[in-house]
Amino acid sequence: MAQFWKAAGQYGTAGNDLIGDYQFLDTWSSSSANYQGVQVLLPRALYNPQLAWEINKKAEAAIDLEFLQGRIQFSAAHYRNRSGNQLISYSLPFQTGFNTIKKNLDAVVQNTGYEFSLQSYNIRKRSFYWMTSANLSMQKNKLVQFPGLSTSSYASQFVTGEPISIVKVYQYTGVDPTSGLYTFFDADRSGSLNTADRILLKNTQPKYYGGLQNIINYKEIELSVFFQFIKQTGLNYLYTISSFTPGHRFVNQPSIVLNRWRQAGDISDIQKFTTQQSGALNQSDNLVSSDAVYSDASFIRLKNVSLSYTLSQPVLKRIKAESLKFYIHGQNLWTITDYLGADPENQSIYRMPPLRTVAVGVQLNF
Amino acid sequence: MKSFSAFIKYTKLVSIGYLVFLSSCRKFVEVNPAPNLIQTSAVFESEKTVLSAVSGVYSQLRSNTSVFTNSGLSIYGGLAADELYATTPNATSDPFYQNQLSSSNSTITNFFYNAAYRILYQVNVTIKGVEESKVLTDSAKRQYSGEMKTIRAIFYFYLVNLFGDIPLVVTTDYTVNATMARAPVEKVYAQIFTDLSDAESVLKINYPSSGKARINKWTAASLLARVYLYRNEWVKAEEKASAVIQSGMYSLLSSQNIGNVFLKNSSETIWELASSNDAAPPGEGVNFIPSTGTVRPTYAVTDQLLNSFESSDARKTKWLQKNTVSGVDYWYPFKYKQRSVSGGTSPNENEIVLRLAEMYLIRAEAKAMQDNLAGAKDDLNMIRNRAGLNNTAAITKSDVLNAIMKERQSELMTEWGHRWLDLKRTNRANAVLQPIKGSNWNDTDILWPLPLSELLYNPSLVQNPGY
Repeated sequence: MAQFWKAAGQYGTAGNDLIGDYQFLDTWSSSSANYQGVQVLLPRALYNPQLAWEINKKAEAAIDLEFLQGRIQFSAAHYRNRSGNQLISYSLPFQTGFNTIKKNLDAVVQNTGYEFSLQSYNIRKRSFYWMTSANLSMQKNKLVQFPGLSTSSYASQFVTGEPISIVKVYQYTGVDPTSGLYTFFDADRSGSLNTADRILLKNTQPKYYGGLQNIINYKEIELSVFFQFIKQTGLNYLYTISSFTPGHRFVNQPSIVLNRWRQAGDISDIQKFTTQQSGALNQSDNLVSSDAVYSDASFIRLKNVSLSYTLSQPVLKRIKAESLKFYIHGQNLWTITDYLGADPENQSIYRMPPLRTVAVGVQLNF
Repeated sequence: MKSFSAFIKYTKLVSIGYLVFLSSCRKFVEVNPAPNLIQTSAVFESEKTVLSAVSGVYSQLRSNTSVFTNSGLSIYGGLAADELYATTPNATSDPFYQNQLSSSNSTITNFFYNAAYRILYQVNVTIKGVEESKVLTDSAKRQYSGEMKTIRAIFYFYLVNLFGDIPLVVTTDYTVNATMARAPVEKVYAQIFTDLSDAESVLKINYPSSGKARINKWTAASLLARVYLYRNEWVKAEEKASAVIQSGMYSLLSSQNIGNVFLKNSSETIWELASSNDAAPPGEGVNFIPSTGTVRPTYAVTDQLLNSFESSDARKTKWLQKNTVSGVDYWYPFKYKQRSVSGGTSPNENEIVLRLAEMYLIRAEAKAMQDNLAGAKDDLNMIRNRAGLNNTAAITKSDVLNAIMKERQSELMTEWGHRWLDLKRTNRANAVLQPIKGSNWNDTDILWPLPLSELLYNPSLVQNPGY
C-alpha cells in the first residue's frame, strides 16, 4: 500500500472589478471641435447603473501518493472554476448609439480540468536506473448558463452547454461540378448563406495533451527520450490558402491547386480560380467559415532525444577539469499524425514548422 | 434640574454621533465626480453645456470628409445612380458603382449606418435632456427641441430611403434599443412627420445663431415639403414649399451669378453646416476637385449626366469643370469650388443641406400632379431662366413631369444623393439603371444592405433581400 499520501482541497470566492473608474456613468466629454465658436460636448458612454463585481468561484482537489519506497509517485488534481457576472465590454448593435457597453454578463462559464502525473523508477540499481515519467492534462470549458442568449448580442456566437471557444460554421458540400464553386448546405432554405446556416460547431481547444519521458542511466551514460502528444481539431491547409487571396498577396500555393476545377464536369476539392471580386472570391471567404477547413490535428511527436556521456572524476582530475560531457541531442525527430497540411503544431503552410535539429557537442568546464 | 441638563448633554452626544455616522456613510456611498467628464444629468442643468451638447450634434454632421452628411451621399449616391464613376478602379467606390454591395461594406457601415445611429443617440439624449431640464426657459426648450427633431427627421428620411425598414430608435435606453427590430417604412415616415410638424410649430423664423448654420422654422418646413412630395401628398407638399418660397427670406440668384449659389449665406441657402472651427471646406470640394489641373479627378461625371444639360445651360459651365488627361476629358462636379484653404483662414463655403431651388422644383411637381400645369411650368421656368435657359416647351402633364425630372437631374446633380432617391421614389431605377449597369443591376439593388455587424449583434434584424 501507499507509504505516503497527501490529500488537499480548497474552495474560494473572489471578486474582480478590473475595469476603469466611472464606467457605469453616461459620461460626456468635450472635444477639440467647436461649432460656430461654441465648444462641443459629445456623449462617450451609455448609462448602466447596475454595474457590479465579477465573481469567480474556485474549487480544487488534489491527491499525492507514493508507493514502494518512493519508486512510484503519483499525483492527480481536479479543479473547477466558475466565473459569473463577468465584467465585459458587451457588444451592442450600433442602433443603440454605441458598439459596446461595460456590463455584467449574466452568464456562468465553467473551466474544469484534470491533471495527472506519474513517475516511476522501473529499475533502480547502484549504477543503473530507468525512470519513466508521464503527465496528462484535460481541460474543458463550458458555458453553463446564459439567460436570454437567443436575443442577446452573442446569439450567433455561443451555445449553452458548449465551450465558449466554439465557432459556428457552414456545412461544406463540395465543389459544384457545373459552376466550379464551393457549395454549402443552406440549412434554412433561404436561397442564400446567412448566419442561420452556420449549423455545425467546431472547437480548436485541445481535448487532452501530455508527455512521456524515459531516462536510462548507466554509470556515466544517460539516454533521455521525450514524446509529446496532443488530441485536437485544427485548421487545415484549406484555411490558409483560402484566407489569403492567391495572387493578391505574395504567397505560394500548395501543389493540390493544380487539380482545381477547370471545366464543367470536373470533380475537385479546389474550386476554380477567378479574377473577379465576387463569385469564387465570396465562396472562398465562406469556405473559411465552414467545416471544410477543420480537421484532425492530433499528433504524437518525438520531441527530444538526448544521449550524453559524462567523464568520471579520476579522468577529470588528471586533465584538471571540473567537468567534461559529450552529448548528442535531437529535437522534433519524428511525428505521427493524420493532419492535412504542413505541421499540426503551428497549423499554417506559410509559417516555418518547428525545426528538426540535431546537435552534437562537448561541454568542458574548468 | 441637574438631571435635566445631563439629559440634554446626553441627547446632544447621541445626535452628534448620529450626524457623524450619517456623513461618513454618505462619503462612502457617494462617488466623487469624474475628472474631465460630465454626466448627462449635469449637461442639461446649465445653459452653457446644453448649447455645447446641441452644437456637438451639428459638429458631428461634418465629423469627417466622407460621412454621408458631408459629401458621402453626394459621392456614393451619385455612384449608385447614373451620375458618377471612379476614373481608376477603386475598391471603395466600385461596389457602389457596380451596385455590388456586400453587408460587410465598411463605407456603408461606418459612414452611413453607424454614423447615423451614433448621431441619433446624441439627438435622442439631447431631446430628453432638454425636455427634463430645470434651468432652460420654455422658449429655449422649444428652440433646441425643434432643432433636434428636425435633425432626427432628416436622418430617418435618409435611412428609410437608403435601407427601407429600419429600427426606429427615439429613446436612449440601450436595453430596449439593442434588440429593436426594423420598423416598417410607414411607421418611420409617421415619426418623421411628427418630428417635423412639432419642429415647424415651435421654431422661430429667425436663425438662432449667426448665418444659417442652425435650424429655423423654414428648414423644418422645407424638409416637410420634401417628405410630403416623397409620400405623394401633393397638396401639402405645395403648401409647405410655397410657405418657404413666400417667406421672403430667400431668393434665387440671377443666371450671371449662378456660380455663387453655394457660397456661405447665399440668398438661396436654407440650411448650411459649418465645419469645426470654420476651418475646412465641404466634403464635396475636398473629394470632387482634383489636386491639380492635370490629373484625373477621383470621380468623374458620367456621359448620361453630362449629356442631360442643354447646350446653353449656365450650370454646365459654372457647376462642372474638366481636366484633360492623355487626351480624355474628365468632367467633375464644381458646385463647391474650394478644395482646401490655407491654415488660419476660413473657407467661403459651408455644406448646404437645403436650398430654395429644390422648393421650386417640389412645388412644380406637386402642382403638375394636381393638374395645375401652368403653375407647374411657372415654377419650372423660374429654375430654367435662372440657368439661362428658355421656358419649357412641355405641354402635356407627362411632358411637364418629365421636364421637371430632367430639371431635377441637372439642378440637384451630385448633391446629397437626390438623383438616386428620385429614381427610386418615381420607380424608374430599373428602367434607367438596367441599361447602364447591365448584368450587375438587380431589382434588389434599390435598397442597400444593413451592416453585417448589426445582424450579428441584434438577432431581431432581418437582412434586405438580395444580400
